[in-house]
Amino acid sequence: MDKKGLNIHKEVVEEVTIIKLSGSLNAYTAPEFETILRDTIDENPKIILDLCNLDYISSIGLGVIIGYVEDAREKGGDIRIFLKNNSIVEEIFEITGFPKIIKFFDDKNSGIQSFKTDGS
Amino acid sequence: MIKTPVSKVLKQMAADLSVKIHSDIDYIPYVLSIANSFAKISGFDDKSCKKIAVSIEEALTNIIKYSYDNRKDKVIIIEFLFENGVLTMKLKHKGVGFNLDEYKVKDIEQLKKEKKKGGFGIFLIRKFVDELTVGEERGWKYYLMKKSLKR
Repeated sequence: MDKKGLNIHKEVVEEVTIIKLSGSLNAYTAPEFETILRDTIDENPKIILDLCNLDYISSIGLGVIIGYVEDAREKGGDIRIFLKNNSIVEEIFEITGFPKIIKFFDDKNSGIQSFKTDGS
Repeated sequence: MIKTPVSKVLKQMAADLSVKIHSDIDYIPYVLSIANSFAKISGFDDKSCKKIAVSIEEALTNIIKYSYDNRKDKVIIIEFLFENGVLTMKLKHKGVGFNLDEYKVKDIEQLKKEKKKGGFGIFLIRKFVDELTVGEERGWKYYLMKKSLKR
């Protein structure tokens, strides 16, 4: 964990970039995440956010994801979310309506494969 | 000698704490750490502590961004009170007040289309605490949030 309370790890698996977040995605940590997400979209817009180990996400963190999902799609990719066994983060996404605009997976490999099967 | 857990003691008595910070997001982790400790020792479970953290952060962010227009040299006072199984959190400031009646929940499809990066703060607070009010007293504007242990 870095001093700000958010750890960000990036890896590429089968041409999909996995961004794994641990800690809190809040007003204090969101700027760093935004920079990495923006750069990643420029490099490879097929992105899975692994949020299984996120402590919580606040409205600013949600806003970063909403703000860039269209950019990823305009560049031929997408932002998809891998999330399981994390009831508070799942609840936040559910009540804010995220499943209406973003695809969620409870299995990372299914998320990776989805980029091959649906043409994005 | 049998020791009584701190949380049980707190349920029977009142505990209060006040924190004064500058209107700078760099202070958010400190406030959240204090809020988490206060809520945990008061007997809230981990999930409730996270909901309390989200609510405090959303109110703080609103004050810094909208009430103080991102100025970092203003004052915010955060008061915690745990009494009769209810945690009360009051965030006081001297910036522009907020009218809850004017707040409307944003449509996520529209936010995505417009690439807007906000709009859920008050919505999340309302979902995660039992009571949210805003007001003004003795020259201070405030957000007042209450959460019961029973919920």
